[in-house]
Amino acid sequence: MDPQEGLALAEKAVELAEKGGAGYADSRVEYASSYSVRAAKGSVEASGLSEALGLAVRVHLRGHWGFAFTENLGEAGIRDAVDRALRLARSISGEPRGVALGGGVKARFSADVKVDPRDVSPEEKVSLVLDADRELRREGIVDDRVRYSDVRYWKAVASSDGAEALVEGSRVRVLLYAVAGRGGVKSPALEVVAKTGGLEVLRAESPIERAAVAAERALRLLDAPVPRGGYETVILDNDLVGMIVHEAFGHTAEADFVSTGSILAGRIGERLAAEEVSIVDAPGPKDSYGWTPVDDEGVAGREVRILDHGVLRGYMHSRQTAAEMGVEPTGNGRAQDYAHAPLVRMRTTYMEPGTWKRDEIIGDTEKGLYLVKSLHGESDMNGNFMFVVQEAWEIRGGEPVRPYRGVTISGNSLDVLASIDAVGDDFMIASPGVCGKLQLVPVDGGGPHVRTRLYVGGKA
Amino acid sequence: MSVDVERLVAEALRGGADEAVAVYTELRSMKVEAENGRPKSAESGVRSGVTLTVIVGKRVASASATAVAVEPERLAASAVSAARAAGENPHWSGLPDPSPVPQVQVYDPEAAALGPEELSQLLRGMLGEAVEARVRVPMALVEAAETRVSLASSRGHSLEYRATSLSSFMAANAVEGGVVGSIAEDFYSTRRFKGFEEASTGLAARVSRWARESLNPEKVEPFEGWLILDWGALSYFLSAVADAYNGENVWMGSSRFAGKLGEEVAAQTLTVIDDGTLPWAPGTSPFDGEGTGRRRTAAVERGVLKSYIANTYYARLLGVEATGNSYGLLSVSPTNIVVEPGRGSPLEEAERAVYARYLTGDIRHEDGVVSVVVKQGVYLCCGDSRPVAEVSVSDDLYSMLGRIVSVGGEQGFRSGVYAPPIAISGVSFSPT
Repeated sequence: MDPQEGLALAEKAVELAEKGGAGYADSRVEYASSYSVRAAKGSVEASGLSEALGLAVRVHLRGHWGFAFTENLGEAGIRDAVDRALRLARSISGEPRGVALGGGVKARFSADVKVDPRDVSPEEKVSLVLDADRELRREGIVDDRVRYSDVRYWKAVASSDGAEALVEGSRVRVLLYAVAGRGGVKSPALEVVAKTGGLEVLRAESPIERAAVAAERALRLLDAPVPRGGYETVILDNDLVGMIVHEAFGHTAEADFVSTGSILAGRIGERLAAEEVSIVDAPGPKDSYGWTPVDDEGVAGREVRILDHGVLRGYMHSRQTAAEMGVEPTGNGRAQDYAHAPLVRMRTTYMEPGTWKRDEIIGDTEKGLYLVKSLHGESDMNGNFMFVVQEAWEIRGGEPVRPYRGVTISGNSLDVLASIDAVGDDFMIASPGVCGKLQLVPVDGGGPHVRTRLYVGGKA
Repeated sequence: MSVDVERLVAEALRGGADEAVAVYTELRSMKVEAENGRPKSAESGVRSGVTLTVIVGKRVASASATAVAVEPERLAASAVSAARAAGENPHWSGLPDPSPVPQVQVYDPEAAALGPEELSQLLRGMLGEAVEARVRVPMALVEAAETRVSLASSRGHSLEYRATSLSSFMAANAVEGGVVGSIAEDFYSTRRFKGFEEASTGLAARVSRWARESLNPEKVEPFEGWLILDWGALSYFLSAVADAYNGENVWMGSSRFAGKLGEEVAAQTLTVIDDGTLPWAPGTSPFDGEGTGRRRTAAVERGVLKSYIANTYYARLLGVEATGNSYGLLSVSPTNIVVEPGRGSPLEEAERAVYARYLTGDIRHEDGVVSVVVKQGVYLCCGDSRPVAEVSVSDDLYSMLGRIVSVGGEQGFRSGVYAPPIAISGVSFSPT
């Protein structure tokens, strides 16, 4: 099936739903084809191919949502899915929910793919993975794992308010994991390359070079101490800024969370950070892992300036939250795949650059910690967060002097933003990942280096 | 729509594979969701797909497709072609032979018969437990699913089962006078309807109470005392322990339990079992991803490391028995993690402690780093108990295992972990 045929089926599902009584309906047909390789200890363990095609239909009927999906894209399969969605919507009772209309987009979007993964032989991909694994396997590394995957996909979205959108994309991802070990002491490190695009992504960001970074970090931290815990001045690298902006701040600006009392509820227009701090959620750039030119409700992606020069300006919306707050949807209604209904989700969320040079920020810091690379993290609706940092460097007199391992950072996003006193000019989208708010969707983020204060976890 | 897995295996062998295994999975699901404290949507669908894994020499590759799109010859050709292109896995030593498969309780007709109206009623029951004005419910859901799995291999496996599952989830937070409390959440999953309604409303009441309690917690100064982990916090802690006795990590080299079978790795009060046969539990099934029968494996018994969990691939590499923990052919995953009840009463025995319902942060099996924040905690001191503001803990996983001083007598459950509260002594707490 080609994308245009998929769009015709999505339009058919919308038409059937409207005939069945839906006040509003949207439908998606999604196709994905992926290839993966995993290697460890110098050899390939296995490789895999997968293909999936399905249709989702969602109806809004008397104020309630019904959603159904099917992998049978014949006439009967689609009619059955539409009937189920209508029946399911009728089964819900209670106060009705709104839906914002009018944002449906008619357009075709294609990712910039210079080297289509389908045109590259599996042998070449396997060779690349083995080269990266070889780079991990240094003296002192006891565990080395490489996971490669690429996916080509298309998505057709139709809606009652006229959306006829096609998205054709490609994503490439490589995970590089190393553990250094000596005696009973171990030290892990992880690097990730993940972008929207073709295999050219791995020419610009070489997995072999990133493997070297991971291996060197694991070895370096093997003898590194765990720092003493406490409230510290810290310099966050681009990746950690992306993590904080997404996890600790971004989720609290998702309108479904705002409506249930997140820390940003009712604060539009309020100054929350210094003039130099602006935070944006955007559908692009085109090579970011979270590239979403149109969302899964058929709404064109638009930039949301959440924090504009320190002032809270906006939230991210789906059609439902937009209706409930009386604003326009922003293109943030995203679903994991055809088997899931859209939720309010981020795309690529970042802090805009400031004016400081990275080395100026470090040189200007008498005592503190330079924090490099996140591992994972969690946050709360009240803005509290805790993230795991891969590597920390103690700064004394403006110079990094020694590394630490086992570092976590915690605090409240608004306190951290309010404490920022230096924003770098070295902007970078550097936090690709998969966000897990009930469903898994690719996201990205980043920003420049910044200096702030927060709690660093370590020894008591 | 079903797929003939035996025919797929035959096609793969005909197409040049030396070995093959095919797994068909069909998942029928129905879900009702609430947002902002009100029912929002009902959803349903059927996902069915097949994964064919082939081995050519020592080259391993798989091909997956949705069932409706499967053309056996094409899928087999794709898998064989991918295997030929893949590098050789020098450690591959063949598919497992068929082995006995246990009878397990995983299918409940009453659960399979639930429709959207019944699920909506269950959801409304949960929302009814969180009606206090200060409490908000960003998300709640009830889901029912039925799974069919069939597996065939060139070694002679021909297996199938069907299972039901029911799950409920609620997240809540409390807001009062501009103060936003921390989010509380809990998840319940079972394979049968009996007891599900009570468990779901109990979950909602508990989450609602935790959310309220987090509004005005007490801040404490740094102190040393016991950390008491209830089943929610314990599931996080035990996941890291399970990573350490996971045969994949042991052979790969990241686990500190490598070479320690038969050695004391925890306090004698601790027994941890991986039990893939536990009646009606979410991690239970008759067989694993390679067709090996599930079983009950004592990983840590009275503090001694007794066994790793492994699939056939890693079991052969480690020289141990496969334990029915295959996730796909080349990965290992725990089933249900069970901590045997002890004779202690940590909450009554503690002089000064933090009772943790939820942990966030990092617990790493590789280097043992524990750097976590206790959320939804309760401070216990001098016979009194009060909700406590977030406190951080920095410690070492392997040292903490040796400092378990009390294991409670009553098991709770979260996310496939069945465990009583356990108390760890000598833990330093700092306010965040």
